[in-house]
Amino acid sequence: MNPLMNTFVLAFRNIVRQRRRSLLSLAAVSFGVTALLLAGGFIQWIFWAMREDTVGSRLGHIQISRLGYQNAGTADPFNYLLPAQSPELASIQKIPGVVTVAPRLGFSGLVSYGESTVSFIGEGVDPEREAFLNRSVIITQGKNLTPDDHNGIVMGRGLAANLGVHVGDKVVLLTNLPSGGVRAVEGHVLGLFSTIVKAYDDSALRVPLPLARKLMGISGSHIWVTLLKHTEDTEKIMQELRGKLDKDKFELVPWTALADFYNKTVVLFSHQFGVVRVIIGAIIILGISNTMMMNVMERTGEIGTIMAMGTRRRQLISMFLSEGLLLGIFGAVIGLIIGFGLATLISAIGIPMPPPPGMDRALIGQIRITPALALESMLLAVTTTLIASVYPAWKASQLTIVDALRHNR
Amino acid sequence: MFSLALRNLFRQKSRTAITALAIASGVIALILTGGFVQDIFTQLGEAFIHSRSGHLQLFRQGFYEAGSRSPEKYLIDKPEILRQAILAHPEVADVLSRIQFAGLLNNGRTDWPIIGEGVEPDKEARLGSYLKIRQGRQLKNSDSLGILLGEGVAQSLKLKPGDHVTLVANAAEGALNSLDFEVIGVFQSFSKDFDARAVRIALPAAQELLFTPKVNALVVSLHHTHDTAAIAALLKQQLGKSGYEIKTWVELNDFYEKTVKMYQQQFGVLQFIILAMVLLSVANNINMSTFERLGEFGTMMAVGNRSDYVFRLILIESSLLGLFSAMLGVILGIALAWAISAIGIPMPPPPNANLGYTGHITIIPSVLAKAYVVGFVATILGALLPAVRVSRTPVLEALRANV
Repeated sequence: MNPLMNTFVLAFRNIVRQRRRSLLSLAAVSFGVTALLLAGGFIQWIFWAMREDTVGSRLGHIQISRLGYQNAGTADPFNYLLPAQSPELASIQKIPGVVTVAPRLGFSGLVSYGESTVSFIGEGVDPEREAFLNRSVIITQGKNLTPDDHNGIVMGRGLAANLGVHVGDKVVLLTNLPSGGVRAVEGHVLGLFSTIVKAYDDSALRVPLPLARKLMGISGSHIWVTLLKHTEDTEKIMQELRGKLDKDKFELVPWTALADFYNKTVVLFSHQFGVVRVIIGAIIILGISNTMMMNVMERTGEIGTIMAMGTRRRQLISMFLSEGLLLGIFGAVIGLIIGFGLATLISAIGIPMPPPPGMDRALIGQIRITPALALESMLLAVTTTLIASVYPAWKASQLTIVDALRHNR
Repeated sequence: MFSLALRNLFRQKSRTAITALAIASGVIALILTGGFVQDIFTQLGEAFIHSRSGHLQLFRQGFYEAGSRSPEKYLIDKPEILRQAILAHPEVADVLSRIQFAGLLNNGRTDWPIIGEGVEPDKEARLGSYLKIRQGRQLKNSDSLGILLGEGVAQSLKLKPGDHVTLVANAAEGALNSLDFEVIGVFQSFSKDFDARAVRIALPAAQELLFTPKVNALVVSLHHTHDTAAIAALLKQQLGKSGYEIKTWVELNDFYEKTVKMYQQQFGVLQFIILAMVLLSVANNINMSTFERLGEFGTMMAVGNRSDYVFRLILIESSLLGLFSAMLGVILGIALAWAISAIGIPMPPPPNANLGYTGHITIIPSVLAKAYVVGFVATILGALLPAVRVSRTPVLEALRANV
């Protein structure tokens, strides 16, 4: 039999012979892997949920506008209009993976109610399509825009308070036209909303697209907010859109460029969770090595016997190394199975989470285990087991044989 | 029996040491995570306080809810007297005045509606700011006619630092007034919508523009955040009746409470995993070290000790081990927390602030106590099962483990 094979067979027999010790070591390793998987998978889920929430909040995955609109559009809304209907719009909607394209029209002006008149920043939206994109807009009173109410307005809570407006009241919106004239439309307040930014709530309102178009006397929109089926496809579909749309006319902005808040939060969270993960990792390493060290230490007498029979130190260490490797791999595999099982179970039940700040939906926590995470956990566990089993074996092999033998008593 | 148990622990040096290490490291892990998470909450609060809100703000009744668009209706009449009255409290570090206005900014060609704020630049700099300067620099007290523009404002009017602009605003009694300013810098805040409308000037310039010596808000910063509630109550009692309202930083940042709630849940799950890990690893270790001594216990029973004596001996040994190791864990945990806090864990800035912070590990008595109890209870629970099994093993079989 080849010597390597021989070592492994011996190691395997040893593991089976030392039933209780092996079981406890396996338990330590698999607990460790399970804990790493669950903790890591939960953190993965948090990031995933945050990303999906950001995209669904208002941003969408890709925003398409006229070239230059992002920089100069608010100052000159009439010069950056996208057409209401165009072959490009139709072709974007046909791209597989695109869920919906929601047109938006930005405008500003004055809103007046009774005696008071204040300025506002407004947005014309398509209520039906926008339904996928309003997670960050919490309706605090009344209801949101509906597709069949063309004169409904939802207003920031602060703006309504400034005007003294309540749900159901009629208000007049006024805006300057490029020709120098002023145009006005009447609408009624359907509901009040709040977002995380008070300054925004103090000045913003949203109206259905037709009302905004009527006010501005135009028929197009400023942005096509594109929502995709999978966030991972953003880059791929960006490429496809770049091929389809004229570079000199259209500007494409992915959500990552707009989600400043999200980007910062991710960096902060990764650091914070990083610290907790280091602690989890450390305790798992300690847990595994503790058990393994004890396991091997208890066998000092046995090591003495093996050496007394003339086994070389190198052979001895390679035997314990293979034992550690086998235990590590078995334990890690068991841990993976338990981890995946528990993750599926926990995800099915769900961990109740409060709604994130500025969002109106509470979330149900899950555990998302990625292949990279599984690999990482396995590697950590196997390496720890190896090191922890070799060290005491090496130490025992340094003993004088009689001393090691005496350990039996 | 106690002294026997104690002697046993000292006799089995390496087993005791390894089990003690398992228990102590569990306790340390609990202390470190608990302290770190608590520190996150504190730091988050400080980030909010020092990014804009201060500890307390005082307004005329109704200004916060409904006054942002017509700030001229909610002016504080004699700000200086009020300021001195607040400053008289020893806990108060500083009082800042702010005034808001709406107006038009003109670059010589077009007008752009803006929402402006007059502040005391040097004091604001001491409080800290959420504004990130993209071009130029921060406003200083010496910039009596300098203006900071939101990024969107600068883009819309195509302005850069050094350019001159005219600011037109509704002054008191409905008159219009205008002043010329030099652009000092361009800032970015947390919200693009806000940056498209926001400008900042020095308080004296704003008061000159608006023909008023009054202000809209007094921002109070305290020496210690934990004094907030007491001072707020005191001020409410003093000033509440004269038509002022006082808001604490928690009320001003409703984002904070929600964030804390979310964090608590998120870290709660992770802490739960750590707790489970600690329990399992301690139980594992105790289990192993008890069974390794099966032969020894067999010998004890063979020389006539009853099995319940062995059972009690194992439990007492474990309790002693648990008591000492958990204490060791608490001491090491505190030492480590100190060491880590002294070095500090560098953290990136929270989303609403532009300054990073240094993470620490707060030492909280309740966390220490909880970690200690968990370590101790885990040891006893872990010892229970092997104690039962060992004491019930037939003497002969137990003796055979010696060979």
